Amino acid sequence: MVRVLIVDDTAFMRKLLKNILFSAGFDIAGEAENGKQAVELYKQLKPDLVTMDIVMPEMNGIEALKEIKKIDPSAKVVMCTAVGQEQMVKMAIKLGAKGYIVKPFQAPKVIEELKKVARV
Amino acid sequence: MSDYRTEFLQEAREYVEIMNQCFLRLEKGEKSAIDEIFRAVHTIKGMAGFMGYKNLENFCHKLESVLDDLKERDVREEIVDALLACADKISEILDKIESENCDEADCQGLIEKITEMDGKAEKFTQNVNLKIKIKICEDCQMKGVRNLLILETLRSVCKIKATEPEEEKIEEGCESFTIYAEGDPKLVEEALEGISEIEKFTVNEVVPEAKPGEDKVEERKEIKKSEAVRVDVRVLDAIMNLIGELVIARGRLLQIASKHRIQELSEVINVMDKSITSLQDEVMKLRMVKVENVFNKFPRMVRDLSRKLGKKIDFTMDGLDTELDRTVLDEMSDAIMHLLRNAVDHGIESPEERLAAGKCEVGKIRLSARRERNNVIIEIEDDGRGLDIEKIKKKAIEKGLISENSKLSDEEIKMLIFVPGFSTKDVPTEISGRGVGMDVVKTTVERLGGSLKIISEKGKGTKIRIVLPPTVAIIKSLLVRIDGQTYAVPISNVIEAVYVDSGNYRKIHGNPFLLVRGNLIPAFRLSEIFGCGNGNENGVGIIVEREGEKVALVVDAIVDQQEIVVKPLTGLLSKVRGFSGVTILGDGTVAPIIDVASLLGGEKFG
Repeated sequence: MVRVLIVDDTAFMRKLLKNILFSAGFDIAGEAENGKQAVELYKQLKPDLVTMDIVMPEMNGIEALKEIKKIDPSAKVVMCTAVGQEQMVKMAIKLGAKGYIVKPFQAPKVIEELKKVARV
Repeated sequence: MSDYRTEFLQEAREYVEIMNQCFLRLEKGEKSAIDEIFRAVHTIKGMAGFMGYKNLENFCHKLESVLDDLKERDVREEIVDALLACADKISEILDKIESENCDEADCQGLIEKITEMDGKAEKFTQNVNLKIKIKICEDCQMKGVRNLLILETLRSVCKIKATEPEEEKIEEGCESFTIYAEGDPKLVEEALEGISEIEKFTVNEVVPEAKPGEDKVEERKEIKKSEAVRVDVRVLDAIMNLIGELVIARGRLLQIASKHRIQELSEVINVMDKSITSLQDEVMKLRMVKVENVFNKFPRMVRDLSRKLGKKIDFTMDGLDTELDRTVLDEMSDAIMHLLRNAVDHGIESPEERLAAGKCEVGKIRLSARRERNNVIIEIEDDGRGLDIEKIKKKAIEKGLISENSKLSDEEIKMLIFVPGFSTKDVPTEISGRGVGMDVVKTTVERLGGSLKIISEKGKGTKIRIVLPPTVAIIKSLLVRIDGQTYAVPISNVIEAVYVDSGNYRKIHGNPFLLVRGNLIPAFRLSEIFGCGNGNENGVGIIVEREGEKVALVVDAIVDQQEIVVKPLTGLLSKVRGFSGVTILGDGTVAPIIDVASLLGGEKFG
């Protein structure tokens, strides 16, 4: 089963994603509230997939992506983005993000994206 | 192989026709037309290959690759021009195949021209082995990001050499694009599999003379599957003829039944009658074709012509699914073409003239067909300069067609343009204005049992309305008797019938006239014209219209009114004037069908 690390600073978003992923058969490896925590948890949990919010306190998603890629160049990180953040996502993709999901989340799209990236 | 040739030619020509239509759609910016053109060219290529016409096959192949690259580019007028020239070349080759069974043709110039257009893509292929086409989902959010993701992902598995459109454009979020790259197709495919929101992608290996992607071939196959069976028109004619014979046999049986008063036989005949009538209806339906079949070639013609003449024209067609008898349609094709040419050449003014007259620079021409009760109406309408009554009148006097003091209504003057030898254009152009044509249009329409009317206003435009019977194989007619022999007069020609007696039949200066409600109508005794009569005073005058004026045909009696099956005159008899054919009546006798236009049109009936 694919183990996912959910990174988002709002509990509501984390819950929403958790529900979507759970219903699609993903396993939730863990949750992080900011970039710093995400990097720590990545080291500990070695998840198959990370969903990464971009705007977060302490360390933003782009920085966290860089760090994670340093630890594991093959890490599969999917960016969570909202309309208007195109440039940020593009930067993330150039830094090695493997996909993106757009808020407000549409469950089928989110599932498709993550499945494709996780290759299941 | 020659067995297939006719079918090959017929089908290939249909595809060329499709190409022509699509090119015009393409010019209007309909990108989807390229796919259709591609399919058409591909099919012709396939058929040509099968038939062994190498030259045609190569030509199509070349064209195909140009088209393929055109999909991502803006289509300019020159490109459409060149492509139309290619379509013409294909028809030329097809003509040659038909006449000489050889497809040798000089395509070099065209090939060079289109290769030049194709140049950009050609350059890419030099150090490229992959052509990757991608289309992302329409509902994809942040298309630019998705495209970037695709590009980045591809970069990790292959070397991107070039893209179409430019990478910047792709990142702005276009929905489909092509990437020329160097790498392993398997890896590329695998990488693309891992990206969502891609509607479809194809990865083709580009090797010289490579076949286009297999998957695409399948895609094309399923699109055009005709549910129709191709039948030679002659077969339909033969069936129609046989039905005619059946109708006659039925008539004879009816006569026998009533003569011998056999009740049972009458019943059987009634049943048979029903079947024959439905059979006849069905075959009539078979003969009906959509006007689309003929109309479709007109947009191309109007386009070419308007470009040649430097006019701007918006040409529209309506009622393309109106059905008309094949024979009628075929015969009308040239006439409509002529009227359209006239509309483009004479009707629509030059852009400057139009602007000066306060009109939109772009002229409108509309060709429409519709069914109205028992007739099919074809209208050709333009918003050009309209007919100039005074000019026509002056010209007609000059040409000696009418006398200076003749009083003609505006309607009658307008009809003068259909008189042989009339042309108002000061300098005849290459396209129209040779003074032949308009009269041919009128005779064609009349021969088919139709009529024609002009509605025109100076400066506002002209509308020509043609009313046609939907079929010519079976017509309603009056059966008349002249000196014991029965003749048929098509009812579409007949206005009314009046009794003739010494009270209304006069001879003035030796010419007979019939007085109908105070008007003198020239009368013709058919018995005299046919040289068989004995000058019987009384009879019936059938008033018919000939070139806009009424004339009376005097016959001995009207026998009946019925639907008759027209059997055309063939062989030696086909040259006989005055008759459009014969029919066989219920009792087996043959009745000639009188063709009013040619019967009285000539000076002397021979």
